[in-house]
Amino acid sequence: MNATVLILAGDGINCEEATENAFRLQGLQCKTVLINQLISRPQILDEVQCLALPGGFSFGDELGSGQILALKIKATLKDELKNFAQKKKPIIGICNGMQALAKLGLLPFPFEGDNNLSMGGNVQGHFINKWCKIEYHKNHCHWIKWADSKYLDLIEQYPYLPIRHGEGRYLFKNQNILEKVEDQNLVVMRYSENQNGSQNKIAAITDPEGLILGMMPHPEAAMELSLLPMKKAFGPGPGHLFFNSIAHFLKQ
Amino acid sequence: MSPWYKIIRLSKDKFQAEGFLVIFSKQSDQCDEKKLITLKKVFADDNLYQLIISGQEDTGGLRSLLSLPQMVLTSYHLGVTDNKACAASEALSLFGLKCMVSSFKIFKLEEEFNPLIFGNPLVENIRLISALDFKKWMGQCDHTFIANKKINPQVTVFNLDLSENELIKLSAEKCLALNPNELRAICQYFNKNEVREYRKSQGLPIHPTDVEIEIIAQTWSEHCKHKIFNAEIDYREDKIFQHKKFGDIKINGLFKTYIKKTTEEIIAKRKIPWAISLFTDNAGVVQYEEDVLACLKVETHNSPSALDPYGGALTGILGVNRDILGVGLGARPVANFDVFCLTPPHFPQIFEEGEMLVGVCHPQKIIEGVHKGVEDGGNKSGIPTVNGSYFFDADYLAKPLIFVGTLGFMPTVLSEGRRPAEKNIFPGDLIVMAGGKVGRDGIHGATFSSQELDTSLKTELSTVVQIGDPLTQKRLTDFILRARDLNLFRAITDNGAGGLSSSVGEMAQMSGGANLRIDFCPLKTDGLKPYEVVISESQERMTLAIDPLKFEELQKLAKLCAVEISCLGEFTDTQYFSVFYQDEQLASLPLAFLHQPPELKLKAVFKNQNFRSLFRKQIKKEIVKFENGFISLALKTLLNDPNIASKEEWVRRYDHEVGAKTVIKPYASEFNSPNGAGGIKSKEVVYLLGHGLAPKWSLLDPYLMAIRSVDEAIRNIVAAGADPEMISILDNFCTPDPVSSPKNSQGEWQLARLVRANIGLQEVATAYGTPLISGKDSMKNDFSGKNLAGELVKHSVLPTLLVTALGKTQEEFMNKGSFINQDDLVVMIGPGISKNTFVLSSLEENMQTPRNFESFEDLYQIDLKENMNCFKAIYELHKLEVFSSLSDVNEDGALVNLFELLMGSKVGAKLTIDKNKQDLFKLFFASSLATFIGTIGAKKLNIVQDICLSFQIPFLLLGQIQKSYQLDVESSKIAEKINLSELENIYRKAFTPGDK
Repeated sequence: MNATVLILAGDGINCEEATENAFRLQGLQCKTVLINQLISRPQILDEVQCLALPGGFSFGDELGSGQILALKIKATLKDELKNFAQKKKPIIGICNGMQALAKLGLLPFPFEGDNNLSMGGNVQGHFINKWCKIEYHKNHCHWIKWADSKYLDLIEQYPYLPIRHGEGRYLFKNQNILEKVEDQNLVVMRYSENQNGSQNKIAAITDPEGLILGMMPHPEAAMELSLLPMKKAFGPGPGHLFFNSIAHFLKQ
Repeated sequence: MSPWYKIIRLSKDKFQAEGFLVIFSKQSDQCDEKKLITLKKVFADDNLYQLIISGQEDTGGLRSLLSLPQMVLTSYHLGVTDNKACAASEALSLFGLKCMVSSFKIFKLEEEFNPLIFGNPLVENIRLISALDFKKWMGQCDHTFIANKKINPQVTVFNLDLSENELIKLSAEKCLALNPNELRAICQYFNKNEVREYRKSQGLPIHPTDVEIEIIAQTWSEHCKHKIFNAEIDYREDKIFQHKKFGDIKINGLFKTYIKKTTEEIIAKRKIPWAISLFTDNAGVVQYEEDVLACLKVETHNSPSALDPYGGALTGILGVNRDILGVGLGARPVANFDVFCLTPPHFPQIFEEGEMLVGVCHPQKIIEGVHKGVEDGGNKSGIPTVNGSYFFDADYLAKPLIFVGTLGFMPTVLSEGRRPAEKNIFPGDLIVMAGGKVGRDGIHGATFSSQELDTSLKTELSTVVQIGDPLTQKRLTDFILRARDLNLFRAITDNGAGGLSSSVGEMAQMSGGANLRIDFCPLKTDGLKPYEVVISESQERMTLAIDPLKFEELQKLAKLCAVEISCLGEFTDTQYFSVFYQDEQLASLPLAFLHQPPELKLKAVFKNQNFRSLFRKQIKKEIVKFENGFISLALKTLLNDPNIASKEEWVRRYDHEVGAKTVIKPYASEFNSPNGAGGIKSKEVVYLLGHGLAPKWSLLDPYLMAIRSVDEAIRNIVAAGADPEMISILDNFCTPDPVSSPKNSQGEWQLARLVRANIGLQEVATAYGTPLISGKDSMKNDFSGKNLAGELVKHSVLPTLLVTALGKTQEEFMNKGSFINQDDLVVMIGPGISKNTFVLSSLEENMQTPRNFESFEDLYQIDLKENMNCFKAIYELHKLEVFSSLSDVNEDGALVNLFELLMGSKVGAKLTIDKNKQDLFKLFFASSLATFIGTIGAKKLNIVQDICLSFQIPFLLLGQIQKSYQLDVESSKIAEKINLSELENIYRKAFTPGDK
């Protein structure tokens, strides 16, 4: 049986449909549920093999991006989520999902304190929608490790993804944490040029196990080359990499 | 007293401070220490903020605040939507803490205190506070909350036994916007014997209750019933008027004659099968592909945006999203677009400061506010903003025109085989309201906007202003679309202007009546009178008709989606719209009377126009001299004009691709050049959105404005690859008051301008074969009041027609940006190569041009058939994939349009043109219709020429692309070399927002 991905929706999340589409393109089954549905039946987490926190403006980002979403998950699903992660099931957080993963303390070091990483406001002081050149670090992260070579070629040829955020500046608690992140090779992506003041130009990180990926750029919005503004080309886009890699991982 | 805390988050990296007053309700029985832990959990982030909590030990934050000699404190007035506070309260409730929260902000005072810099006094309390007072203030629980939220059951009777003048006065005082004729009709109705009998039998007073008179006023408002567009009009032309005469016309409704009939004729003549639902629902519905219905709607939110630009634009965009959500059985909003017509940002340089209008926001504040409103409205509800523009003209000082539009998609068949465009309501179905609560905000919005802006009406101002809540709206959207797919409701509409009185009043027509029961209406404020509950336009609400058997399931779904729903009575077949509170009947009006306002009869007289209105003072302009160096000078001047300069810095703050369907983005190409149209991919086709706007032409003749606006909207999307035979257009009119009255001596002339715009619209739509699928009008865009110098003034906007075009293309050959190769050729295609006008071109706005080479008659030399042929030729060329870049030529002139294309690929061009000087400059800087400039591969030249020849369309080879980023122009008399980096620098820096 094919693996199933649980995709969260509701409370202001708004990229669930595009994210679901990205997983489906890799032949994965998807279950998109409202957060309140999951809270009323947390067993859903046992029935799925992967969890995605899509982008959006959960709770209007009113107390900081991802803040209330993380609080809600902590208040209602803390043990279930911990259990999920300990079963070595992969998790991805994109944009607002990344922000929530940081607030949940799942990145960079799961369950080692909540405050190792914050997502600060862009140095520009406002929201930015822009396609950026990305440098990939092919590390142990299962969200890129198992990708087909054609998708690896694709990111060489089209190393671009869009960012759409107002608070995407990786800010680690202190220099030690940042160094630990670099030493353990947890950075998955950097911007070629710093886009928002992020420490070490970081755009995405993983955990030491490589199961949790948190990224500010939106791969689900780059599934087709026709969506790339800077090139006139057709066919699968660079966003496939992550979903393809995890599909292989889940089939193992 | 309940325990309370003030909490401040002070940013660590720059001065930014926001705060919250949290008052715990008595039920929160946690001890204080536990509460503090929760507060920290909710508000703290040690990496980002210093947290200050009143009564707690200071960790340095408070000290640094107190080191400021003075601060500015802002907080919302009671009853104004406070999204931050609502979110905080919801977050605290996750941990079992029930509390009331209000938010505030603290600013540093850098210069002399001017409250307007820090906020809008209409919605916020803005005050200066010293460090000493601040310390005291931190120790006070100073905010009052609305504890009780109950209806004040007071109903008054509206006495009709008054003289006509007294009634007129009363109508104005109560912001009813009823005209004498309508007041007479109301008196007549209530004086009828059978009506008196009926009312007696229902226990209602003889005269209308305030609930009834308000329902009538909202329903009959210009905003809701479009009386002017339905009026009988006698049109004639003044003897002095010499050009383009139509003679005397008796018009039986502008809408019926020029919009509906025109469209019906086009559909019949062209046998169009794809126009699915027009004019009857919230939005126009068309079908361009097998499985998808596309719904399009454009609204204006002018009056609210004049008073509170942020709230006005935000509620505008959320409101038009709800129009789409309420079309048929509900469509998903997939793309937003917005057009702002504003006073130029460098306002004081054009006017004296004293000419600013009292009560109207400063132009700079308006731009910043409406921009932020559209940003939050789209971004936070997950709808991409794909297209739009800023248009600046001094005459928008009277009112900014804020156009907001939304495209929605809906499947062609829903569950159980239901057709999504069909709505049915049966007697006994429940009236259910979903979404936000009802407050005092937004009372009289419909009638207020149906009058000129009078900023002296302080009490009305504060209630018409509203702030939107994108989170509630997003949840509502999640809920509605799920409920639709589960087939849980029979009909839906949004609560916009007129609130429940309009939504229920309109839906009642489907079943034949309604009993609206307001007992369980959720309120957000205390002491609302019944009439206020019924007409409040509080945001984020939809009204549904529900089969009673499905109510329980609907409730379950609502709970999961975190949406509040309430049952407010039932639909009936009594033919009456009645309102009840605690089983007492407060209103009962027959639908036939309510939905048949007396028709207006109006006169329209067209005369020669004032070429420049009062505000169009002569600005010192350089005189055009056709000589070497002029092209460079003209380009530099034009690219520095805020109407032309890059808006990229503004637009990139909008999310333009959430949903992952935006294949044509506002900015594309390797080096970011702007696109004229937006493109949204669906299953099989790409939907193209473009718009046309030519308000300056209304100064000459609104007939020409309409033709030019439609042409621009269409060539916009044709440049992007649209099939010219499958285009739908929308018309949005914003005009000065066209109803003549003692207060409005210009009414007949203004109406004549509107008539001529409609004639133009009819002609061009017919010639291009494009149905008008939806539209809206806003007719009172005037200001009457004082300016800062204390003079009584009256101002009106330029009569403005926004045309929105929706077309389709294929991904394979759409034009999504500039992808020029170094050996490409530069070409121009279209009638504008020879037929073009300097008059009202952007160059003419910026520089003084000789007029003698253009006669008034020249302006009417338009061949619409030739234009349509050109669109068809361009489409053929797109299908052959000949273009590496293409733009339509607009009023900025072909050279500006070419500059933008070159910029996207960072290449130059060498233009060699054999023309005399005057014709050369016109070719470069004049405006034209149905004309395009672009680049093609050198090998494609023959085929392009052949196609142009076969469509009998003018074609001109302008020159070739060169590697160096430079524009060379050569003709027999002129030789210029222009550095494009320098131009780009001007273009990108002339109009940028502050980093706020």
